[in-house]
Amino acid sequence: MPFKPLPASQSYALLEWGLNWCLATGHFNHLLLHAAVLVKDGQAILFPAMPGSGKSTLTTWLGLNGWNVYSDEMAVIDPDTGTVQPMYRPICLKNQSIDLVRQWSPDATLTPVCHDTAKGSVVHFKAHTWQAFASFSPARIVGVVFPKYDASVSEPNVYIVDKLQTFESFYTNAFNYHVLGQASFDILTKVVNQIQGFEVHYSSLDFMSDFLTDELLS
Amino acid sequence: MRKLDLNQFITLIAEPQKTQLLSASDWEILLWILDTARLEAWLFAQIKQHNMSCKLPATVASRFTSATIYAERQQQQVRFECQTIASLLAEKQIEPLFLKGAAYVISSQFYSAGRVCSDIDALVQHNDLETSERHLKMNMWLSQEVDDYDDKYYREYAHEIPPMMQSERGTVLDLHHNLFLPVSGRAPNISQFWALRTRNENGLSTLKPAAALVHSMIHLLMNEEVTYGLRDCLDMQSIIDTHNSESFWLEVSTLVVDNDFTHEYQLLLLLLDSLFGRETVKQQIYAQQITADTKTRFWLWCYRKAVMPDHPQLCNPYAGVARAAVYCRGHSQKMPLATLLKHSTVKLYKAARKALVGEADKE
Repeated sequence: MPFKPLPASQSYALLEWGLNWCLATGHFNHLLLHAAVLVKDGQAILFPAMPGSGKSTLTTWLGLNGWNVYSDEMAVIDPDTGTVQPMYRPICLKNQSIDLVRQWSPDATLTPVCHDTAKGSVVHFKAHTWQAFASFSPARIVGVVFPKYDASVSEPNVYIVDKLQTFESFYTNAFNYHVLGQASFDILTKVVNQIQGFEVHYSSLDFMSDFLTDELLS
Repeated sequence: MRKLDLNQFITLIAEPQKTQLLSASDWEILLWILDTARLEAWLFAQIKQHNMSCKLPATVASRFTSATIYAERQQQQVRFECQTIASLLAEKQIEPLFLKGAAYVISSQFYSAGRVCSDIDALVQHNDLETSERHLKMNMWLSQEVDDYDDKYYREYAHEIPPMMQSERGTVLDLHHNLFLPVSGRAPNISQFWALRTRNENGLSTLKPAAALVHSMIHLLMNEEVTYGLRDCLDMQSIIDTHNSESFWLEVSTLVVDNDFTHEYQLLLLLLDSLFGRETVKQQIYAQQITADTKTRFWLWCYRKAVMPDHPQLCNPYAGVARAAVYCRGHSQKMPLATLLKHSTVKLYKAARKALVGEADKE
């Protein structure tokens, strides 16, 4: 049994984790990476990140400021074209991020707070309406950013991530690389060779939006 | 909850071309049931053989494609692991004989499209068992941790050693020295099976089809575990359909009679007939004048239900009773009553202790 039974109050969280688990362990038509995907002007940026790096908060902020959230959790990559597909799921916000999002957008659609989960207190945020989501189409990947929120940083630090490190990170964050085998290697090699990679330590969300637009979008 | 009728499910498995009549909601149920039985990729292979894949609903085709990618990748790994194991054991002049799923995958004598394996089963001569285990351990195959009692159980009673796992790739190997537990008194004359091995074009050894059929029969009808019983039945039906000839049936009969598996053999043919109704099996039932007495009819009823996938959307009344009967029958065949009572007592004690005080600390 992949999940232990949880109280009814945690059912939204369990549903989201369960759906992710179903995809990660049983869907082999696409290469699946553990990463958020933000898209603007048909160009996608991937955000593979460790828990606690502020990925979901950044994703939500960008979603509220003109970016299309293709996923907060999983990059769904077509092994033939290398494009990334949208996955209609709410963003899972944790702990302090919940109040931040309420401040940014008092009208935001949020589920009730679910306390005492394995990840602390969580809510789910609806980034787009179904009508808006349905208009999204597969997007070309143009960059990868490894974000790290650090409140103590007065000036953002930007590091270039080389192609080997980018490939290694994709491989480490892939759910089904081992099943797709050669197809995974081929498509990741193709993607890595056509994108730029950065690691960014930041304390300003405005900076991140400008940085992504200026450095990665053509 | 909507359910699929058992007879309808069996008909779809026996005659995959009838799947084109399914509604979208029936497809959804069927896919869940097939997933439980690990038969999604198998059914897709059948549908492709009937040139019907273009008629599938897009969502169904997507699920099938995904399952097929998984099955093909796993088969690639099985072929690689079998070559690795054979090369390692060749260093000690030991020849492994690959069994069941692994054998179907590595040998062109068997149909294996969409076949998914749980692990790799290989047979070595009893005299070579210790050397094989030691050499594999020296080369990254680690014995899975079992407690002292289970270790003793494997080595004294069973026909295999505790499962081994390749430490980097996680592949599980069951290394056998016989096809059934010697303690049962029903273990076959293994040299007779060794004599019926064949070296495939890739240099790997498997049992000839007749011996593979008898082994699969022993596995299904002499053990208590039938979780993937339907898959085993399809394997056996496929061997029969592919190799149906006088010499094949003569080899099967000789193995069955010499090793005292006549009752199991009759039960198997009746079971395959009741599931798939193929002429190849009907002819044998007729030729050998097999009829079912009351006891056989009871076990036929049990196995027909017990081998079906255990899924809540498959309407299979009394399946729990049938599985319990098969469970008891399997255990009673695996060891003499006195040994079984002793073994059950130890297992019950261990289960009770675990429930009360949890697992013992590992050193």
